[in-house]
Amino acid sequence: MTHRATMNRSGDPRAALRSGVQGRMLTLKIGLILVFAAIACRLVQIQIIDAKKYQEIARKQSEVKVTLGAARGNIYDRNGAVLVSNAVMASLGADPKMMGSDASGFAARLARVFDRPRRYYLEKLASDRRFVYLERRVKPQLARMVGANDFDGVVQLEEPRRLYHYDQLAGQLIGFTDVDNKGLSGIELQCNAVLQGRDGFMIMQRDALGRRRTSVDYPRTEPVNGRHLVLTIDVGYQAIAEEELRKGIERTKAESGLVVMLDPATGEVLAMANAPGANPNDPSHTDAGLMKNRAITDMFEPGSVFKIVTASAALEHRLVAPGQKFYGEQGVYVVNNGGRPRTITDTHPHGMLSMQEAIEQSSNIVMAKISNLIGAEWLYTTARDFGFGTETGIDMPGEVRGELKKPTQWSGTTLNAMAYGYEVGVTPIQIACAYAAVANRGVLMKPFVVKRVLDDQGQMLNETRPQAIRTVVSGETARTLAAFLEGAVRRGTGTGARLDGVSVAGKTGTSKKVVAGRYEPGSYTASFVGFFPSEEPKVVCLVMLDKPREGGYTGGLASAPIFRGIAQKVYATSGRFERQGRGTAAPSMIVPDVTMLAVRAARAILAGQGFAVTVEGTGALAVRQRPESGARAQRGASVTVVAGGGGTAVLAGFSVVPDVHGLSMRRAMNRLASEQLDAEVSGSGVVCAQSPLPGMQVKPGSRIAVRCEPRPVPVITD
Amino acid sequence: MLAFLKERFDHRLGLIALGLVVTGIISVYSAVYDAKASDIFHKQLLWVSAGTVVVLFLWAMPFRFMQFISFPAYFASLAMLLAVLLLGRTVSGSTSWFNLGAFRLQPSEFAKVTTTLALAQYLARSDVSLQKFGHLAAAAGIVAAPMLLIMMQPDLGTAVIFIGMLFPVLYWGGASRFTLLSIVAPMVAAVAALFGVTPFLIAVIALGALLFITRDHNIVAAVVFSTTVLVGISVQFIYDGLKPYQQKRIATFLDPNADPLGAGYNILQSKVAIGSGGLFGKGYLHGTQTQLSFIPEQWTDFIFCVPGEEFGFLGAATVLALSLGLLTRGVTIASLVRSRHSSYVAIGISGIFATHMFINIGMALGLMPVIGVPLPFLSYGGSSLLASMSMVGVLMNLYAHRKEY
Repeated sequence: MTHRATMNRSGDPRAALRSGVQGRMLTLKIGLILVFAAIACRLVQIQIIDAKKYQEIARKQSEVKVTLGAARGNIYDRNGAVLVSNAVMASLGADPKMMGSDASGFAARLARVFDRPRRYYLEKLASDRRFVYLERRVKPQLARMVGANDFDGVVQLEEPRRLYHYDQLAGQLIGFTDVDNKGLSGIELQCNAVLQGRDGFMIMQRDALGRRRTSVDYPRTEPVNGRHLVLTIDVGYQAIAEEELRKGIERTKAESGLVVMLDPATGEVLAMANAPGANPNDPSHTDAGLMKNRAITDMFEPGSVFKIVTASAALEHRLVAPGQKFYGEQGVYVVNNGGRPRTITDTHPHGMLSMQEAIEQSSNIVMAKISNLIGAEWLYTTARDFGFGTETGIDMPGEVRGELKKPTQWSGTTLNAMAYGYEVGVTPIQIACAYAAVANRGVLMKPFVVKRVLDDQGQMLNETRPQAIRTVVSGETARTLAAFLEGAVRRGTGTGARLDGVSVAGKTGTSKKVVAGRYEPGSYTASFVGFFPSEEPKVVCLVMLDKPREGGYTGGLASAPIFRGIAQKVYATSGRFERQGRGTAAPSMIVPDVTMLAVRAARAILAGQGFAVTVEGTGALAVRQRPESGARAQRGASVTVVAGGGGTAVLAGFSVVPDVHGLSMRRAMNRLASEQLDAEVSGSGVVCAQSPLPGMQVKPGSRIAVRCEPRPVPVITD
Repeated sequence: MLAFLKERFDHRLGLIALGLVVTGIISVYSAVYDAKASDIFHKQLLWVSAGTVVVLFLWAMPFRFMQFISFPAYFASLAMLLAVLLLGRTVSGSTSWFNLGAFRLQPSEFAKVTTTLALAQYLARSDVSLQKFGHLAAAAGIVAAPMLLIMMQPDLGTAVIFIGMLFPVLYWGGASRFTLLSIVAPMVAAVAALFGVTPFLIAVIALGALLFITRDHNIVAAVVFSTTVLVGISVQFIYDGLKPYQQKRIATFLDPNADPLGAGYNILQSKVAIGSGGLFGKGYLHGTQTQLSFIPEQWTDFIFCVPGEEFGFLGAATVLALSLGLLTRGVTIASLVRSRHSSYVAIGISGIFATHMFINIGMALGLMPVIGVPLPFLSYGGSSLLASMSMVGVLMNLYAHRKEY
């Protein structure tokens, strides 16, 4: 620099120029560095100081949390028939702005497929919003017919929907779910937490146009699928109960009715029917009141069916000797109730009656007289021990406890009135359980509906053990009571329930209905409750009709025939009953199991093995068969297939995965093939696991993985 | 042979240019990675190859050839600019392109280079002095002709580049501070006027004072000052005459948050992308804003967001450092060469690069209005890349012949 400066001063013109150049170069470079320093400062500000702020904005713009829905668990009946599963439905929506001129063509297509006026869609498509739903939760094949891909701006979404395979069958018991698949009533509500599982989620990236993309950078929480439930309900019993109840209501012009069937030995609810029915597939068209499961939510005065309590107390405390007779007062008995006389009447005038005869003939007068021997305390404790006045503890929502007042709260009439079933409020399930206790040698069982909980792979997690609540009466008393009830059916008020070939025990009940605080004339609750076969009870059945109008309003005339119809059909179709003295001809063949197969497939299998096939009912699915599988029958014998469900509930174009558990490998493959499904077999022997589970709806041709294990070999010891 | 090459090859410039070109390839690849526009990337690779040939060709050219073709090339450019106005293809409002099959050619990009050469050729004449008003006007005219044609396209951004070239060349040629101030004053007044009356009055007073201090002649100073004031006042009328999208851009620059979904969207998204990159970035091809198409024009005008987001401050600073390196190298070459023509060309080219970089990066960082100029070497665009690489080629040639007069 010094050297140059010297030269500069010396006046060399080129040096002067160069020196000027050097200066300007320096100025320019310093200028450039300053500008870049300013830009760098800005970078520091944006990228380091404010980075958090911008990262937050970026995250909000580009991330979207997507819920991975857990599949809600299926519900099966006790034999594995699918009652409830899930279907994937399609929803169609559109961005009206993107549709533009396509809108009218699209609306026309929708109108053709969904049978609505074109204007309906055009009005929706005239919206200013960027997304409108046009059809929600429709069948996928209908949505496919629309051909959403032919139009711009149309979005097709998949939405799960609960599928109730038998429509209104056991509708109130099963219940239904809301749009978010949360249980609202019945088992769906009771077991919502078990059924629903836990939704997972994933973070997806969303681009500037709102399109979503998966990203491996973010953690993904897998959904935990809901658990499956196996109910104690038998679809066959339920169907029979509902059918007989429907016919009975038609015959008697009753307002409504219900049936409860229990297994007396375990407390399992075999059927629980409410009429009129409610279809969970269509909750919007079902009156909310009809969704109530009145067998547990409603209380009524039981009338004569309660006499069993009075009889039990008398027998248990040995207050009435066998053969002891009471005067029936020829049907009218005036009780001097502390100066306020009160009249007790019987429907028929009776003379001298034993207690058994009083039960058989349902004499209110005699039961009132017996109650005077029993006294308030013992009548109360007996009623309490039978479970009246407390919830049965059934695993269903909305149960009421009824009303059983303590003796201190009783009025002067209560003792006599309660003896024949008044001044006490009970629920149908309490009545059924009380009779089940009689049928079960005096042991009261806790009723339940959920038999097993399975994980989503079908492995059992939990099984409900039958639970004895208490011994209400001794076995001897129970046997005596059963004999009384048998007599009532054989020769008493319950003859309408009599069946050939099977002994039935039961009791009628007819109670006046209280409407707005007073007994309404002509308004009765007619009930019949009993069990069969009476020597070894397998089924307890309660039939209740509300306000029967025609052909007799009494339990004996209105309800007993319904019981009879149910018992007859149940007895005929179920393998629950050992039949003696029948089928003595040498059985030569084992009837195959064709339940849960397509009817056509069931027919083919049976015919192929040389059986004559009869199909009862309509529907695509063989719900039940008789004789049951494993029974022996002669070649050419008739096998009846009861068809049901399926027809409407199974989506066209889908197959229901059949249950192949326990079948041999070849049987399983045949079974699957009959549903147009392929099997992917591992192992050998009998099927021990399958995936997807029975009842799932899949596309024909899907592969069903089946794991087999060797048949257990019996160990022979000597 | 090796020594000969070493003597003639500016390895510093070569490395810097290589760094920028590679950064560009990486950035464009990422910008189009998920936009289903892989043909853009392939075209860019093709342009890089062609550009490399151009660099080597220009580097190896005889020294005098550059001076010889200066004016013919300049007039050819003017002809092309005229032709593009008449025959060109209109893309988003500007008639700036020729269609050549699959490729589009933008004559204004090449006019920048040829105008620089012509300006340098004129100023290098020994009889031309920047102290003379006539010569100054002639120099301004050489620049104004292509600039006006480009403004008619209209392409404001590229037109501004010519000012960014002229100004340092005049400074380099020894123009007086008053001359330089006279060129800047109207523009400063115009921009200040856009901000409002008060900024405009402050600017006018400050400019008046500066002009008064640096003045040689009172009358000239008075004329320049009144022109400045007039330009400032007429800004409102010019603003009203602008196309709506241009008005919007200006308004957005003044307040980017005024309309975050509309005109301010670009600036906001660009800042979000760069800001969210943080210190080390989100990783190559993992920039959410870049990959999810949140930034419009991201492979052209907003390419700076890609290194900014995916490589963070380190990436952005690297681009800045390379850019600064290129510019200072250009200025150094201008001072190394013995030929006056070479010196002016080097300064002009540096000015072009500098203006591009300031405007583009400033725009991406919200420091500048959204003026659509590409970032040299990084932005996608064949014409832009070829022009940038040919300027590097010219600088290479100047360096190789730095000892010749």
